[in-house]
Amino acid sequence: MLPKTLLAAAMLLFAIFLAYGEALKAYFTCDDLWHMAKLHQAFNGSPGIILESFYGPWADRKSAYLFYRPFTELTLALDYAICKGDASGFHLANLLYHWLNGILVFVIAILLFERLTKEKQFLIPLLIALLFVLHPANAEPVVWILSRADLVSTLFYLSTIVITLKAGRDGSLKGTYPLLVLGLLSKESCATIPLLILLLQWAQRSSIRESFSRTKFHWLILIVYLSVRALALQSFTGGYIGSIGQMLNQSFLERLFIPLSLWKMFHPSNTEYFAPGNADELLLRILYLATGLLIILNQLYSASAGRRNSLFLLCLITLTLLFSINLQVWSITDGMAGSRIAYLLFVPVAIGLVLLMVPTREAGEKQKRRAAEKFLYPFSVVVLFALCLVYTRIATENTAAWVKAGDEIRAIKESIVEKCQDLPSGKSICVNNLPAHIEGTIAFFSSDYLEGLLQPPLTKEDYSKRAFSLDGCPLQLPVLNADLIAFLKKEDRTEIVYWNGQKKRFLPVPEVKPIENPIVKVKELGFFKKIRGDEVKNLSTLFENTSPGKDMRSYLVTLPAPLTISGPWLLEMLIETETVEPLPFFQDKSAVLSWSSHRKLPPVFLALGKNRGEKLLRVALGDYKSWIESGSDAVNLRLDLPYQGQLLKTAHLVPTRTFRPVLLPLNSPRFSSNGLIESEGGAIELSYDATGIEGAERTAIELSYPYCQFEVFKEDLDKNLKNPGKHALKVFNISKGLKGDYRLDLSDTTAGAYHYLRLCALDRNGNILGTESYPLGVLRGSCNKRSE
Amino acid sequence: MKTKRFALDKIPFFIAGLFFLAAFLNPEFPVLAFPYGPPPTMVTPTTPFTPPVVVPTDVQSGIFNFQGNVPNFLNLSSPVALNGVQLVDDNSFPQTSELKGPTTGISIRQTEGTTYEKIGDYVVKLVKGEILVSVKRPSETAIVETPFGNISISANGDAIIKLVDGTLRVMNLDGQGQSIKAQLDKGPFAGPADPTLTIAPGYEVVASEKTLSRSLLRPRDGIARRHFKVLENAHLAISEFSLESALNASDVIADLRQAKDGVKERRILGDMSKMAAVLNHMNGTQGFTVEE
Repeated sequence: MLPKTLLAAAMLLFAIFLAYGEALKAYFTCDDLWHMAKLHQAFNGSPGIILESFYGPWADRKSAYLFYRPFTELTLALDYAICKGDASGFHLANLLYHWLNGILVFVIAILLFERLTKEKQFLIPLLIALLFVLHPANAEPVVWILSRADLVSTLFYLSTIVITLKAGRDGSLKGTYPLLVLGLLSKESCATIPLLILLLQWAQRSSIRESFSRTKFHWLILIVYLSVRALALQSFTGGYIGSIGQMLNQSFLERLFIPLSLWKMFHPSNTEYFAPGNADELLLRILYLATGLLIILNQLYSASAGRRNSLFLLCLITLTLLFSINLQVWSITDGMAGSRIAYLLFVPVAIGLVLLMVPTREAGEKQKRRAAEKFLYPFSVVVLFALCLVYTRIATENTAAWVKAGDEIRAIKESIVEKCQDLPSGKSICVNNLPAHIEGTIAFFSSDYLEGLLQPPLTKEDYSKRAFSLDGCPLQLPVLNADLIAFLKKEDRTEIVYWNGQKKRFLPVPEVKPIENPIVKVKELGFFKKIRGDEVKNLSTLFENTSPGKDMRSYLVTLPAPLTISGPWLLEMLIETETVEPLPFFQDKSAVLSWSSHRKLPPVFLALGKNRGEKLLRVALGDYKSWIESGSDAVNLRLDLPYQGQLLKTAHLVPTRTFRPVLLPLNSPRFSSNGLIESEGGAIELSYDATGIEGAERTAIELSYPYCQFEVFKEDLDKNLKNPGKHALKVFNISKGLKGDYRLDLSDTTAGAYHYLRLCALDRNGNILGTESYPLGVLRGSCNKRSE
Repeated sequence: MKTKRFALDKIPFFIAGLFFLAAFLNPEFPVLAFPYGPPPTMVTPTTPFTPPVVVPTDVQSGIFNFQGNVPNFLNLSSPVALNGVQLVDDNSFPQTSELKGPTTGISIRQTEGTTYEKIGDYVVKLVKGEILVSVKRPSETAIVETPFGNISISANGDAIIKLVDGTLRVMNLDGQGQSIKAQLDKGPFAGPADPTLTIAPGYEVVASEKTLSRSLLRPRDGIARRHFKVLENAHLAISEFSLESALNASDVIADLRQAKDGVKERRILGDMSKMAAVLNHMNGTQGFTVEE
């Protein structure tokens, strides 16, 4: 077997570099930035930092996730020891892990098929391994450094399967113990290994009792691991928490029942980067047609269908097992973000697929090979090989997207460093609109990443104290805190810029433009055909939609002059819903506001609901990042209403201050790089102003729970005021006037955790008037001194 | 066992079906908040907000800037007045050539000293004075020509139009939606940027060749007003008026009330009274003041 394995290894290595070789040019992105800074500190005087992941959460970012992955951290430390802050070294290591996994898939396939056919196999297992390594969904786990957890855990998972298969019914399984331990210390999905080994034993004709007896130490290891993990994380479940967890959980059912993710496994192109409908897409469809036919023909005319189907069932069970533990995060976007979750899942998929497609025949069977099988076998090999070729092409495109994203992140870093170097002493820079996604890949999903980008080893000096981002912590919001930006401009100690993704540089935020006659003009455009779901994120596609239809009613809203950030006006629209017809589940049910732009930027989505009656929407359009990035000079807006029975009744510009109160820090606050205001003492000095709101008699400030659950914005502020212990940590009622200063006690907050504050104006009955202020993120202590 | 085998043997066909779907379908999917995707758009509270009335002298100054040689209206300035108008497309204003239908529903009442000319079945030209124009079904539209532009009154709309000393007033007494429109394209509004407005019930539009002074905004006609907004370099203003006070104070409505043939008049008065009650309920009555 060894020569075959070596030959397969060589071919797999060639294939991997053909598909993913460009990854060596990629950069660090997303969570990588947290880890790089920590590794630098570990290798420059604080080696204990690496050991922290053994008794605490991974990366110590409790506001994002509670993971226990110390071994993965060790592999990153090994890379750092070899290549320091050079990204290519980390990417090379990822490629090598992927290669090793490919070899293991090959070995597993040989073991399974040789058992099935009782004869030597090479070509079919090689094709299975090639399918696995070349599937374009693997661009994320291979190119993104932090997906090391998926690569390493898969390595141990597959190694365990190899040993289990080789051990058979009676052989020793002791070799799997250390692999299980290392797998569990790499990623939580390895918790399914004991169950899988039990199933494999049972499939090999052991009784349940025998199977359990042979796996008793595996279960013991698992129990010990779960206990240690719970102690380290101080949580039995862990996983994604806070705002990320809330966002994942809120769309849980949708992700289960809407098959976008399944579709992306079949069509794994990063459609944010390159358009579908190209030659590869067409070829893929032809090959899938051929695959479907082969599966049917193989089932009807192949002699070994029965045996293969039993093995296929085992693959299906394995797939279900692996899928179940990843339910919380199961989702793949149009840009293939999230596809790393499917990495290990694709092993049983690849094996199962080939089992169904390729006729196999047990050696020594007396029956003659059926005529159909003589045709099916070579045809299926050709189709599989063609699939591998098409996958290779798509994988290179997907990899190119990551490389391009890395280039932009490098450019962002260099721009900020350059600006920091030119800044006078005592001044800082506020960078905004850091892209959450670049070419479909995840980038500055959180402004928390900025800190690591500006620290060694990625920079020569630590610039993280001189730059911060108001993009929203810990998740990007579509708007900027315009009040805080106006405050910072007035203070004149901060240079405020935003990233323009087209020009690839930072530009200053636009100045406020006065509007003399604030009357808005409305024109009904008529009914149009709805925009496809995947196109609804594109401003220009929406604005220029002239396809006649009956799906949605559209209006042209003309502003007297463009709106600007921190300007005094916001757009108010009154929409009436007279009738509501059922819409397909995939059709967006929001009203969408778009404008002319040559950039591919997201529009403004306005949740309307489908209750009959009037709904008043207020849009601080000038504060939207996509508005700013598009140039914020448009006066024509398009409003598309999703239901035929909805109409726009009025559209006005209204002064922002008559609806939104202001909450600001006092006394030149210190910002952490993620935009939170750091408060060393137990209180924070604030200024508030709700004087513009008619009927207001007093104000209240809401203090959120820790870990900055920004998704709680969906909770009415009204609920938080009435049930502060349930939806908000505390509510501070301010009775001394509608404007003034307030010293807010932060002693209830958790040091090092993220909280936010919101202000609202109340009438004499305690009802909220207008809307809440923009949130202020606050942090007691410093981000770098996390303690509970 | 046979059943299990039967079921097992069917799975490949299901898988083949998935591949056929992958080959032929071109599905679309909704935009969801996926992991690492942007969170849903933040939408500010959407319950209809009826601001409590603010006496004009209580309005805070400094919010609005006025350009040019404009009197200080800070104490009278309120953006709430803008709720009473909506700019619409010029093409939506009815053309005189397109007017048709019976004229039995069009009524015009005038005060003493008013001069207007009947141009056609549906069009009158106001020269001076005050008229009340009412259009009820089966009639569709009537148009009043003025030196500042045309005013259209559509079915189930009642409006007072007053032209005195170069100042035009249009008061919507009872016209929902886009019943009352003003296309101001003459005099100081001539030019490409001429506005075409709809006027909401309970709101008054004032246009003048002169810059509008306080006395023009708040004439001593016994009609209570609040919330003023001056535009177009102080040649145009919008305000909210108390329909209830107009029913009592307006000369032309008083004339209507005293009409001998009561059916049509009673109907007009009834509609206006109902609208007054509705507006009082929706918008409240605090803050209206009558200029003494």
